[in-house]
Amino acid sequence: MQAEPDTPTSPKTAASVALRFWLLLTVILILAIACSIVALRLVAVPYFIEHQNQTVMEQARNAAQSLDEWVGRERLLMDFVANDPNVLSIALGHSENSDYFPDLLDSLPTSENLSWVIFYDALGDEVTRFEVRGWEEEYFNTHALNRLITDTIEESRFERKPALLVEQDGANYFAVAVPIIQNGFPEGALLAGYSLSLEEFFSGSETIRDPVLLTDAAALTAPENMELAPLSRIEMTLAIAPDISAVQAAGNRLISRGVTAIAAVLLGAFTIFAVLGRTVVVKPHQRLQEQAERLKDQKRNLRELAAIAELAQDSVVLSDLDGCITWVNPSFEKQTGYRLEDVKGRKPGAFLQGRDTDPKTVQELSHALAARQAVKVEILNYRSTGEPYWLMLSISPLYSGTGDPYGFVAISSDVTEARDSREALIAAKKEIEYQALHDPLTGLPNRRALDEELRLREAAQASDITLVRIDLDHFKYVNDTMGHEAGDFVLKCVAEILSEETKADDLAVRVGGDEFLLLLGRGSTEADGLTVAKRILKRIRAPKSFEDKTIRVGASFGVAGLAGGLLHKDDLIIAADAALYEAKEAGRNRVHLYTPELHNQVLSRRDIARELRLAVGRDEFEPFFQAQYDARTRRIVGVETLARWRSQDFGLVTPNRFLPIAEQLSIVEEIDDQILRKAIAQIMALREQGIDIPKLSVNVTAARVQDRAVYELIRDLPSNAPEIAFEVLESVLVEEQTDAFLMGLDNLRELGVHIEVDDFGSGHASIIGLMKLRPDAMKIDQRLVMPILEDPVSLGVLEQIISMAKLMELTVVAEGVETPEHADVLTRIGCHVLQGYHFCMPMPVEELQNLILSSRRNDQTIRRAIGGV
Amino acid sequence: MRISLASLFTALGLTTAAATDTLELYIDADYSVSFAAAEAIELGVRTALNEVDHQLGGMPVELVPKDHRGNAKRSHRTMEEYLDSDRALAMIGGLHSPPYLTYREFINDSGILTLLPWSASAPITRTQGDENWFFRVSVDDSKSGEFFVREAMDRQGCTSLALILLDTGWGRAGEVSLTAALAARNMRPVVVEYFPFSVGRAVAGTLASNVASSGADCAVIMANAVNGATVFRALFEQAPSLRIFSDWGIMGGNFTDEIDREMRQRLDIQVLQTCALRIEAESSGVLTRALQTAKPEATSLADIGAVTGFVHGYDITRILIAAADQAARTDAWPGGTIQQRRAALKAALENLQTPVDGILKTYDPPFRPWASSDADAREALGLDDLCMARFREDGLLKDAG
Repeated sequence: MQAEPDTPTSPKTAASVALRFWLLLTVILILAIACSIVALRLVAVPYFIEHQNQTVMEQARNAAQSLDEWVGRERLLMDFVANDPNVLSIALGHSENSDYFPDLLDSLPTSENLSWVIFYDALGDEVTRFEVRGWEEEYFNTHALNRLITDTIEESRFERKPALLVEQDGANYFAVAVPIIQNGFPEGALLAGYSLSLEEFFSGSETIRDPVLLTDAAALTAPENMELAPLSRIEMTLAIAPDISAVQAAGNRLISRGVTAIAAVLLGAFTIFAVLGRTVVVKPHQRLQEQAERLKDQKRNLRELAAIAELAQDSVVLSDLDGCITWVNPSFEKQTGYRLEDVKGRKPGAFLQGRDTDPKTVQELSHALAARQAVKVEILNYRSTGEPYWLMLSISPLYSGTGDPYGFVAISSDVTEARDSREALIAAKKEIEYQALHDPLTGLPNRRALDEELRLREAAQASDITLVRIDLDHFKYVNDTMGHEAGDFVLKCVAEILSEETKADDLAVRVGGDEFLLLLGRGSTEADGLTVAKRILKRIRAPKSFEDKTIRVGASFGVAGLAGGLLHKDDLIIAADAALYEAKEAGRNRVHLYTPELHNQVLSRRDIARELRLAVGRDEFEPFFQAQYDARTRRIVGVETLARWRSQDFGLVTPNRFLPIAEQLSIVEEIDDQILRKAIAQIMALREQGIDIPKLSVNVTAARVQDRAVYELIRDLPSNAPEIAFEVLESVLVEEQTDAFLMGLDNLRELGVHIEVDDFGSGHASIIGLMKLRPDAMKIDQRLVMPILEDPVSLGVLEQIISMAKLMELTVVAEGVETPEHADVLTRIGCHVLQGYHFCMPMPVEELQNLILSSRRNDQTIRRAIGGV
Repeated sequence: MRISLASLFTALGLTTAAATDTLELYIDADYSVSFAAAEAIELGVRTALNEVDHQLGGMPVELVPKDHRGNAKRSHRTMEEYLDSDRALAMIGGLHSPPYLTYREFINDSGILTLLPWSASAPITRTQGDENWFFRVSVDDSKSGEFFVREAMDRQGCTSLALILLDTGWGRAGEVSLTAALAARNMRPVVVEYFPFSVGRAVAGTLASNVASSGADCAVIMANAVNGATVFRALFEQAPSLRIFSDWGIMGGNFTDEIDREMRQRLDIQVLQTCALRIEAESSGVLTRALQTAKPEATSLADIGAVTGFVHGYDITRILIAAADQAARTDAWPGGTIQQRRAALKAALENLQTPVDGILKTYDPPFRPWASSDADAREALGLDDLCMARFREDGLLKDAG
């Protein structure tokens, strides 16, 4: 460590120099200002007084000119009146309208100064007058006024009009006469009186005292010190005296302002001088003093620093500008295993850094040292034993008192443990982030990752987003039949296929269960979506081997994109879902695109969905009834209740249109409830009219079977209520083999409810399943019924089913009976009950009532006919 | 008793003629503006008096010129001076009608014997009351209306007539008589324009523009010399083809100085005159003698400025002289007061027994006692005494006949 040489300087000496400097400066400044005052008083004041006198003269002339112009304007107005033909006519005695003259003046823009105007004829007699402040006429001497009139009438060609002037209570009043001329001869005169305030002509003047108006005669005897400015248009003179005290005061103000200005200039000049002097004289002294103080402090600090460095936990290394070690502290020796004697004169990098030390960090260090800049890095070093360790290393250049670098100090601490902890933390955090964005089973990104990507695309205002939605077909079957391991295997296979069949910028995600979504990369189109979907489908459909068993699964695909302009980004997933739904509906294992037609359907479904929710509240669902006939007697043995929606917007809507949507909205139970209650009430009402419907069938879902409210509704029906039959879909019977479901069936059965299997033959109901459920009847799917007239095989199958039903003691109901031939064949092969368009369409209760009444009348007719025979 | 009566008269201001030596005739005329007319009137009066050695009814008489300068009030002052005077026998008023229109009732009520050689306004001599102290030898506007229309429409073939009138009582009376004369022929003026006494160029320009756009081919103008010149200049600029029948008022001043020869010719100005120029052309002994007396070096009326004033002044003075001679034969004249003499003179004027030879004609009698049924009782001249005159190239008038 090196120290700057100590420079002895006395602070007191420096302060004394500064004090002398400022004192001298202040005295010179005061003397300069004092001299300026004396000079200004001797030179400027006489000039100023002369100037003020000239100013007074100038102001007098200006005021006189203004006054003259004002008089001119008033004269002009009076001349105008005097030249008025009617005024002249009155003056000549040709007419005597005494009101005309005051009316004329009243209509003219006279000044506020005009007090009165008297109209005299050629004989000097007053004709009429106009008065604003008529009393002011009394201020004038009557004889003088008469003289003025006489002069004007007798001698009209005055260059300056004679005027009378009086002063009353400090105000000026003057009168001027204007002749009325006819053919060059005065034929009368107007005598106008004015009040005048001279202040308005002298506003703003500080050096003029009491300006006065004088007649020409009076002006001759005006005091000598007054400045006289005769008016050109009337015989008056403006007299002005300078205000000596005001001039004196103005002179004082001039001196005051002059001194202020000079003082300001001197102050500015001295300030500049002071600043420069302070820089040149005082500052160097102060710097010397500060340097001395600093050196003293440095010496003390160095001693303290040396002691601290000796004791510090961090290792400290001092080096020269070449990086060669000049000193190390004990912590360095402890940290590295090297002693000062071993390393002095060596460069640390040569023995502390090794194989795994990051070359970039070493390069960064070299650059910083070469540039004499401070640097802080984390670097891998090696102890003398060869053991690696991590250091947090700070190197700073050392400067001498003159600011020249003379070496470096390196302070380092062992951060190996902290680094290990930090890396472990980062790894854990990465893992958590990964898990948050990925599906743990397949390793595919999850829904959250998809949302994040979509958000990024949206932020980039991407307009080319294409989504492929994938749902495995019958995946549940795999799970159910082969176990969840097989299901997981299938999901992993699908994930692998998705990973292999997509590009790097595509994003395949598992969004749950057997559902996947594929977000195609930027620039992809819907056509690309279709292509990749078909490719993936082909691979998914390929048989897969799991534990020596072959698994076959299919998949349905819905493709939707923004390219068509149909969709908003927010609706994309829903659209892909809609396309997927279409693919499922169309028979699965296929790819469907979200087309404009589908878009319209979706919109329509959306409208229906919106209305459906309202319809439930508005109680718009009503039961239609399709009669069921005894196959042999052809009598009505019951009715099946079918739901209809009487919509305000869509008219009468059948279930195939609204039921799928209702299912999505989870309002099927509410609709069923409305239908059931209304149907029971209507059939009960028919019964009160003597029309007895033995049985009322309604379609129910699995949930309705388990619904306690349904149970209570049935339970609370009156004793004369019709028999209730619940038609449960064969598929429901197969899929809902839960205890709750079976218990619900049992409970209903105990209340006397018939259980009928609906659409038998459409699903996979097993004989065992049927036996377990013990239904009361089965309704043959109409797809089995319709072809029996043409297809002997179908007929044979049906016969076998009926035989089986008979064995199980089930009533057989045939749906879709459309022709008499169907009815006859079905009767012949043993169906008990027939239902179909051959007999009647579904109808509201009123028509059902008519149908039954009509049927009765027919029966009666037939009976009478038979009786008659 | 006589003394006390004299004292009483003195106290009442009714001084006797014995106290006076010379009678006075006031000439109330415009000696300032229309000085030519005033001087012509005075010359006519003075010429007639010269012929009788300045004697009226045997008493010396002198002329007292009074300049009213067109101002009715000055005339009024003259009238008051007349009334205060014990020598003023009559007032000869001239050129302008307004003083006498304005103070007509004052004149009649006060008994101011007013002789009018040059005032045309018709109402002056036609008072509503019983007293009428006016006697006129002048154009009478009640005749001039009919005369103008007869000249313009009947004799000189005008088809549409414009009326351009000074906005005074004179002008307004003129409109009445001119419109009545046209109405008698089932006609009406195509435009009637008034202008003020001191008309300026702007007003005159608008007036001329209106006349030009009215389609009139002839116009009757009633104007004075000064304002008439302004109107004529405007008409010359905007309606140069208009034929103009001017009342004689324009001849009261230096009209020909104001309106040059070209303008006079282009506008075809004809001026209403009494028929002195025609009579001169036909030679008249009275005229020749009067001219000789008035201006020995004169060879024709043209040598006298403002002929009308001279002729009418002469004729009316001739009538006055005859009336004074007749009055002098009454008791009131020799020893009567001035008021009595005025009354006697008035009575003589109303009932003049002898014909009077004037320049224009022999007046036999010139006047009659006033009665409202006899509108022309105080008009010495009639329709037949009116003629039209044209300007000669030298600016003087000649008979247009």
